[in-house]
Amino acid sequence: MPPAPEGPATLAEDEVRSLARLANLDLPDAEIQRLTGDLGRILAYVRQLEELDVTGIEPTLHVEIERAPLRADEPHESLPHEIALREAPRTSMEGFAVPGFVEED
Amino acid sequence: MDPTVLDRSIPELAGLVTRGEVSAEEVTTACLDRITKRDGALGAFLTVQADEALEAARAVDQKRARGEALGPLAGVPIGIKDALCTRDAPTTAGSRILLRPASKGEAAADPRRGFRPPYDATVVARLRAAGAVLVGKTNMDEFAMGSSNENSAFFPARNPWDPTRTPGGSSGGSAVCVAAGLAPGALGSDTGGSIRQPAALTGTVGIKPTYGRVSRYGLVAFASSLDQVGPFAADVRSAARLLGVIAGHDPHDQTSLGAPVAHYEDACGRDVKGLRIGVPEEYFAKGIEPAVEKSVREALAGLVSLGCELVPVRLPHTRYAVATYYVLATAEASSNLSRYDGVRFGARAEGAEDLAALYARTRGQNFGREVARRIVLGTYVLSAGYYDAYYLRAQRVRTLIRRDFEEVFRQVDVLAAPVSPTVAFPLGERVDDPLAMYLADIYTLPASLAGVPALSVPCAPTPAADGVPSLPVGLQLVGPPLEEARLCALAAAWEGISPARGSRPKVSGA
Repeated sequence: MPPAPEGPATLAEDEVRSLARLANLDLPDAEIQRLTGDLGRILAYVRQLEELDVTGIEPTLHVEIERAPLRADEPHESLPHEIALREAPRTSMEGFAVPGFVEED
Repeated sequence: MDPTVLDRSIPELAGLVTRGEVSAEEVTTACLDRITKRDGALGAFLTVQADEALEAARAVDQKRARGEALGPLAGVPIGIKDALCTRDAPTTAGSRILLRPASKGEAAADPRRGFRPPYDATVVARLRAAGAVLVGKTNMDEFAMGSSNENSAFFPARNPWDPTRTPGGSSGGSAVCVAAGLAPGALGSDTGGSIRQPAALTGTVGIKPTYGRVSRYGLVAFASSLDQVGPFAADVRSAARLLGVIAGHDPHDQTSLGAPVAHYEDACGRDVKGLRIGVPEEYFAKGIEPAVEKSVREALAGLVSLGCELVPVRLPHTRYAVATYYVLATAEASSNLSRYDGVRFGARAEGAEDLAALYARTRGQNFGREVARRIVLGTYVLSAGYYDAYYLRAQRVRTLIRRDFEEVFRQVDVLAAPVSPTVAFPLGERVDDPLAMYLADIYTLPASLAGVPALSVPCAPTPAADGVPSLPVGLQLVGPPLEEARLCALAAAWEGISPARGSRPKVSGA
């Protein structure tokens, strides 16, 4: 039997809260609670992968049926500026507008 | 014009238009009329592009009038899964996060306010070039995450065989579109069964091609090592024609294969005598509904009557497919969906004091529950400390699952199995139990993980009993890489003798 992964089989609510923060998801407490239960059940199921001995087995990152051909490295036109900005919820000075993210004194 | 012309096969319909026996405009008008009359009760479409469709149809008619050659889909109305980019037409992927902010008086969740892509997905461009008329964008589970279409941010799609039941998902709208005769063909995408399962549950034909056979350029990405675009139609030949149009190398997709495209439609008349059909015992394990198993076993007997030989085979790692898939697909999704941040397109939470709050609120407020669940799970399995235990381990198990297929395709030409362990289930039945929903994908996930082609073709529907109507059942055929033509040949041969042949749900409205 391969060694079990370190860490608990189920997640604590605080852990889920910090995962949601890592994933840039601001969720209400009730959702965090529900997620904690759901993820615990899903991870308990996923743990059956530990039954298998995978020593020496190459990981599959991508199925490679054949080598996909590369395209020629040639310059081509990109999206016109105004089209690239067309769907932005807010624009400013011909760019995407975002709240400030540099601390200013 | 007689609206039942819409019930003809795609090759027949394109032939009628090409010979001028019916105009593309008449066909499109009939199609739009049917959508108006029938779709209110079904929810197959999120948006309909009536004006653009009529314009495209007239262009086909004018081309014919000038004596120019028409494409293989001349005047054929097609529904497009809303995960595929359509130039200037709303594209939502079933999510609120791809909606432009509402102005005063506008409904909060109206798919007509969806992101307007500046370009067509390659498959969409190929359909247009072949003369197809794109009528609208079909309903789906948000970001293709789901197996019942109930995770659509807008409304669920309903199964035309019994509108209290799901059509399956995530390409539920595309399946309903074809099953209810709203359009003769549709495109979907399949990451873990999202074409095959709704095809099975609605009695249509759905093909998931080999990974890399069809371009994903312009497909809203869910799990990039698994996503594949494919067709839905009412019969195998029609689906084969659609596949022939969309398949082939695309320099815009790094995973697109260079292999020549086979003649899928010609393969539909091919003799299948002598084909060795593997029957994997793991696909008839505990959990399959007896009526589904009976129907699939009858189809297997039908394949024998066509001269095929059945060979019992084993795919021993099948039982690990669900766990493997939900680690890998959620990991990839957590990365792919990081692009939805409220800055460049789509929804945006107002009033955020800094960039981090803008991201987190936009995403927290606009992703649905299942999407949030998968992003958090994906973040967990990729996080330091758990990466090796979950993500890397799942990638290694994926290798074992692939090897099962490589091994078995040394002994047999095709695998035949069920698509779904159950018939279409009632709306609401599994929404509160994500794991139960995931477990029902057990028969479709392995082929996705192995990257091999697979399709669903109807077999005998279950008999009506105890107030439950007769419901469709799908036969899944799985082949070695790039052997879509072989699958089409076998599916077409089976379709010729299938008890499901020609059966359609009774749908009210012209």
